[in-house]
Amino acid sequence: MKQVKKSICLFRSLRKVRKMGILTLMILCCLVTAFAQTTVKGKVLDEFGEPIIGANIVEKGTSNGSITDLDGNYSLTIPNAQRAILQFSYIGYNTKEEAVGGQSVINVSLAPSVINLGEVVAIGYGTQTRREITGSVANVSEESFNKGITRDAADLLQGKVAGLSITSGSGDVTRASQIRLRGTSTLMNDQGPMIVIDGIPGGDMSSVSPSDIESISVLKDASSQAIYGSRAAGGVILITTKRGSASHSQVTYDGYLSADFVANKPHLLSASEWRDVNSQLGNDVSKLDVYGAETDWLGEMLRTGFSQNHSLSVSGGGSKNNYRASYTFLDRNGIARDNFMTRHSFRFQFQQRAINDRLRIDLTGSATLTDMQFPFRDDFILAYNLPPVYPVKNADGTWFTSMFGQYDQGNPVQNQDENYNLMKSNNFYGAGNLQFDIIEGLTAKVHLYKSSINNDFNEWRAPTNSRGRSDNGYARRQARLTERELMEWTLNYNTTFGSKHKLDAIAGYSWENNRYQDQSSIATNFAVTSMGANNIQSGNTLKIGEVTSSKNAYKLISFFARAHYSYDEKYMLTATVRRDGSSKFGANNKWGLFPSVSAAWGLSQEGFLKDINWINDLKLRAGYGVTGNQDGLQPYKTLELYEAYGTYYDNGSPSIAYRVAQNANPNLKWEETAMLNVGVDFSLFNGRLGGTIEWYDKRTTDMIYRYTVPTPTFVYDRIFANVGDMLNTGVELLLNIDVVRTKEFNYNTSINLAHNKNEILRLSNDIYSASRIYTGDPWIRGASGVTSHVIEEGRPVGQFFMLKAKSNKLTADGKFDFEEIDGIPGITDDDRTYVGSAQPDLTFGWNNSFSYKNWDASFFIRGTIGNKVLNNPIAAYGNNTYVSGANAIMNDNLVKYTENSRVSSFYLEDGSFARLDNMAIGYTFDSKKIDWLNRARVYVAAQNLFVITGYTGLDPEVELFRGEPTDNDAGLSPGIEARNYFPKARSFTFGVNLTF
Amino acid sequence: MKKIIAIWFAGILSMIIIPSCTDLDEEVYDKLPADDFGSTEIEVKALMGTVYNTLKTYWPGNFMYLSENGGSATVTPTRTGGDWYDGGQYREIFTHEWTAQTGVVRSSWNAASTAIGTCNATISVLENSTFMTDAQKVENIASMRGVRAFWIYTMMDYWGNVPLVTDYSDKELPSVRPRQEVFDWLIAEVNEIAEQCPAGTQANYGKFTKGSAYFLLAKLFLNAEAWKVNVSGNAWQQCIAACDKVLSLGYVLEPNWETNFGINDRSQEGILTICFSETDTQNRNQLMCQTLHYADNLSDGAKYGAWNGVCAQPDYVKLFDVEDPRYEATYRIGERRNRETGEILKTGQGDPLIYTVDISIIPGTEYDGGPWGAVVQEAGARCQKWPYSTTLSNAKGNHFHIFRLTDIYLVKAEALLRSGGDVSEATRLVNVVRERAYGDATHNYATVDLQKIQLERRFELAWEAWSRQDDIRFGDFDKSYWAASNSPRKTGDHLKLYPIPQTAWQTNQNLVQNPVYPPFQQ
Repeated sequence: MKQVKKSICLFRSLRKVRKMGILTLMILCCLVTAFAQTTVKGKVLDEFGEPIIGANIVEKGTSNGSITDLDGNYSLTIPNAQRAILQFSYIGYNTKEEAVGGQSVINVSLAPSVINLGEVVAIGYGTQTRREITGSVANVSEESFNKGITRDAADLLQGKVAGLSITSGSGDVTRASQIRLRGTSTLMNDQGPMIVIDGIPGGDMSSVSPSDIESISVLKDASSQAIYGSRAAGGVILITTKRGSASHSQVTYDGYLSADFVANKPHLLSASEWRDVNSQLGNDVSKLDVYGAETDWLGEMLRTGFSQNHSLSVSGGGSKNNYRASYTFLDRNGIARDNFMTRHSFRFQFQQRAINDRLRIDLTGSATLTDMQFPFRDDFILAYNLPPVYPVKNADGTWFTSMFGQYDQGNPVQNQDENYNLMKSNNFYGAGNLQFDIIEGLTAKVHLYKSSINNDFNEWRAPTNSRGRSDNGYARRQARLTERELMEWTLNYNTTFGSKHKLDAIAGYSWENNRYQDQSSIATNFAVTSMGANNIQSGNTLKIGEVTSSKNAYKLISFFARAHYSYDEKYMLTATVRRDGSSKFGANNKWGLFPSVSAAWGLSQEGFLKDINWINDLKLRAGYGVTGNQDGLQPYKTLELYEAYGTYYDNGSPSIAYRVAQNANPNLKWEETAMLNVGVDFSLFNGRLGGTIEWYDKRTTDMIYRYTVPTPTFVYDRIFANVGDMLNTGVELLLNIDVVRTKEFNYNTSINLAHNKNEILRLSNDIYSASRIYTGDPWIRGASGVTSHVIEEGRPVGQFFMLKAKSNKLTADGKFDFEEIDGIPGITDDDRTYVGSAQPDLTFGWNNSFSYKNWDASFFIRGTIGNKVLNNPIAAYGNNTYVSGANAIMNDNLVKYTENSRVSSFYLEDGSFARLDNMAIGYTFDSKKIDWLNRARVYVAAQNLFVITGYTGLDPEVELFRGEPTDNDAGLSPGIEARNYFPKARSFTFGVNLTF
Repeated sequence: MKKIIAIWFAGILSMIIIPSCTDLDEEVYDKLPADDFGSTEIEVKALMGTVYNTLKTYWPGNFMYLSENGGSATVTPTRTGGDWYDGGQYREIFTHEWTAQTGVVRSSWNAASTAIGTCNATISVLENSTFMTDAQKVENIASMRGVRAFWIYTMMDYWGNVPLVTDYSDKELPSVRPRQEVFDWLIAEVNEIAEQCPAGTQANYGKFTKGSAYFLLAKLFLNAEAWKVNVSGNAWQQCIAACDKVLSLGYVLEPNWETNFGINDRSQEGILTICFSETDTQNRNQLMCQTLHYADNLSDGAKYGAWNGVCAQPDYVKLFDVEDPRYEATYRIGERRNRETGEILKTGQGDPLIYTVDISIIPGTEYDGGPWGAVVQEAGARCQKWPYSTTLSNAKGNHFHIFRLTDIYLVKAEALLRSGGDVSEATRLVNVVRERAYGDATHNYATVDLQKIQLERRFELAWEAWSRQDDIRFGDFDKSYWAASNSPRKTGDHLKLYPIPQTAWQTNQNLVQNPVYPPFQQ
């Protein structure tokens, strides 16, 4: 820091020169002479060595292209052979990319599902060939994406990458997936991996329509992540969108229709079962069973949801430009009657080249306009809770409301009809990208980006139903605005010398500003209700404290550099360093340094292995790096601040009170995650068996969290501080096997397995001590405030800590039998103990794809092994103690209980499962004879067809957290199946892909 | 080429040295930096407002349960089906089987200790403030120290040996101070501030005034013996002196007893008052939800949804003379009808909602082999001492007087008797209270003894968070007033102090657990 300050003084006079300097730089750049052109020739063959006629060869990112002739030969003139990447594509074959790298002859063979080692993969701030990569990067391209209804990149990727866990624990179509890479790495609102869209860090997954995505790279180890230092601790997902190509000007249409059915719903007692159970228990229900109704309340709330998706894109280009524009309309209707999402996505990308193609200007615009209605999940609680002998409506057609005034009761169907919780979201961004080849191998680039996300919430609870009754009508209007500006400068140099030495280096600077503001108003007590939340002034009561606004901002500034050296594809070395500054930290701790180094050894290139022809490729990799985290932290936590909070009584009138806003911690600094990663990549038997084995050790230190502190000395009992350490270690395996590879029939199977062990190493230091934190609120009626988890040193995140049932059977007289832990007679909170973990021992994905002539088919199974799930619906509603005035879920113990449910290991079950997640069959028409048609494919797909599990609840794949990712302790009590469970859907889709 | 690279690097370098390109200062938009806060009268008042708001965490939540459920006045029974079992925490408070993990003990400790932290922070701002006159400053600081003293007194009463942190800049982890030391500190502190505190004018309603300080002194001396602390001088005489001081400050007993509890009423006998408001959005007074049956809002024509929790211990209710107007005004008993339709309200089992004083365990519902079990939804007399308005939604506006003048009459009477003083004066004081309650002198006592004073305190101060302290002082702490619970109370002198919560010890391992409770360990 001191040195930087000195230089500030020294060079202050240079300030004025800055703009001129850049200008001069630009002009000088223009003066440098053009490069020599190179011609690349070669042959494109299929997997049997036969020539492919009419295969496309395009220089990536340009309009420069060619087509193979009758013998599969092509020839292409390339301005910059060092940097060019050729894309080879042909219908029915995987597109392949090859870096020219000075070669003049490039022969390729295209084949389905063969691991392609020359394949170019997106890495941070650039691309690399698979052979050269030293870090751990998993790449998934379009042909491997999940089929069926997909909302975003997470849906495409789910289960495909070892170590990347993507959880969608609910059928709610408005709910985003919860993503973790290689375990939870922080207690502080783990945000999951950072999303980078076309090189722009920190993007929003929902802003890219799945049909616009070409490939997705997952940066798994710190050595590949460290170039994104500041926010990479949770991993990085790079999304590369499709680009236009001059060689084929095309129009593409992808469309599908689908139907969502309720996959699994709890067996609540029917009216006759309910009467029977109550009579077995000796309950007199004659006072309630007077309406002659038999209602399946959950069934009344659910429906078959129909969805449609239409994507249209146009792309093409001329000799100096290319473009792609796309529009996607997604209309998604959930299986709950009040749940929907519609989204319009527009994306436009244009590139123009000038000065002999040395100057490239890229412009991208994206607009994602979403309308959605969040379901009131607590309406499901009402459905669980209502006697099935109540009608939905009275004989005169009015809503049945006689249950009002009883605990957790109301008419959920009425609620669905009368209430709403809408959000309109407009997500705009624009990016400009200016790139200039200064001299051969040296490229300067500036990236400018601005995004603006508006969210408008509109919530209404009518006074006539159970949700709005206590407020006599409730309306909330909220507007949020999130803005981001980004400026990034990079200078990239790559060269090859002595024919075998290759060097690729990059240095850069990035500046980023994030701003957030919101305002919210709540009014209650409505005299006129017909306008709902659209006329909030109809509410008679407006309370101080329910009209709020806020605004905050933070900045990130970074300097980064990377050098990659490779010798003959045998020895590769990559080193990166990044210096990151975040405004969120204390004055002396704003800057953090995040270095990494990794190396790879291409064993198969060595002489002693070259002759073994069943080894196509064998590479050893090792890397170590440090990444930072500050994402979960809100701004201003280091500052002593005062805020308005509540009102106080000032001689008869309420006045706004002020208070100390927080326990400020001026010493707050970067949380650091260091990861050591060792891996082997292999491709054997002519590429028929390929795969990767990896081991990692990931340690988070100075973990930011809301540690508990004593009051006094502190004003509040929580403070954000850097105290704890966390460890994740794991092994990952990916295998890809071409079981059958013939001209007409192909069968490929790929398996990924991941084991991760999480442990909280430390929660205390000299100042702060929090050796055990109770968390998790499953909520059972009659057990409010009883927690289910602990966060504790030596234990994983997701450690269940509850009363321990001696067996999974009740005693003869229908009671629980708990272990006496503290030695003092009587079961109290002191008798809780460790009863299992929500972390799985193993997660797996198994993909199978087939092709026969024009047919293609695939199915995909994924799951987990060894995790515990708390079956809270059964705990909350599987007991009979409320059944006389409510309802219950049918189960073996239902009539045996003589006490109410307790938060305990009695309800803890093995959550291992295997789900047939995805299955599709497609047919591609022979379009060779139709000159206006390039490609036509139809397919049917099914999602979530069945689940194999011993779990007796509804679905063992449960959400990591139920609320928002920004909630306190979100994700720290995983493994609870929520009692307000929103059932999942089973979906069937029919779709077409057309290219003209 | 070198030149070009050099220029490019010059470009980068120039950006590095341009301050804006490495500037990471935070600009705060929606909060106020500490350096300039507290420099106007409005700001200081707003800050002191937060200190007064801490009192909202005293009652009707945390300490009402520790006092009334742990004492003889109320109980939160487990309701049929299991409502309010909540891990056994309410059973533990009633049967005195609490542990360092019991929820209400923890939340009450947190409320009190957080309040003390807020007081210290505010006092520090006031001390450093420059715009006030010396007199203003002294008065404001005295009132803040008064609220802090109230909280420290509360912690000392409930836990005995507690940390004593009175300096905001002191960041050393505190250890527990013996009750004697805390007591001595309190006596000195309250004596020091008493005359500096604001006067009990109408404008200062809801503030910590001179009256509040002397009231607090009276309570300290009154309980000293029961707390087993030494007092220099005669505690009873000093208690009486403090009472006389309060009585001399111009407070008057409200002619109508109910004025103390009504909606929008500013009782003239309020000496330290929590000023709840129906517009509160934080720390709301939700006593109606805590005590009334789920459906009972309809009997008031109001909108809130209640939770059917705390009710009166039956044998306590039966102590009342049913002709005492305070009986009906305090307890809601009997059938409840929809205010609009006149229909009788129903329980969740479809039974008519008729609150009964008696509460009996439903056979077969007992937990863990013990006697504690569930009771029907409608069992138990409910609280209606603070009337419910028909427009009530989710926050009650009725003020709560932590200290009120009637109490001082009874405290003085008790101190007189305990010190062997003037029995006729004591009788007169008690009769003032009874006469006001009954509206005439027909129920006056000829003479009073300690038992009668204890009874009068129970009639007058039910639900007002004095039960535990009074029961300990009158030697009645081991006895529950719900014999039909079949759950005997655990006995032992150590139970007169609550255990320090496990979570408090986790953040500060200098804390030592109270005697007999299992010591803290990792």
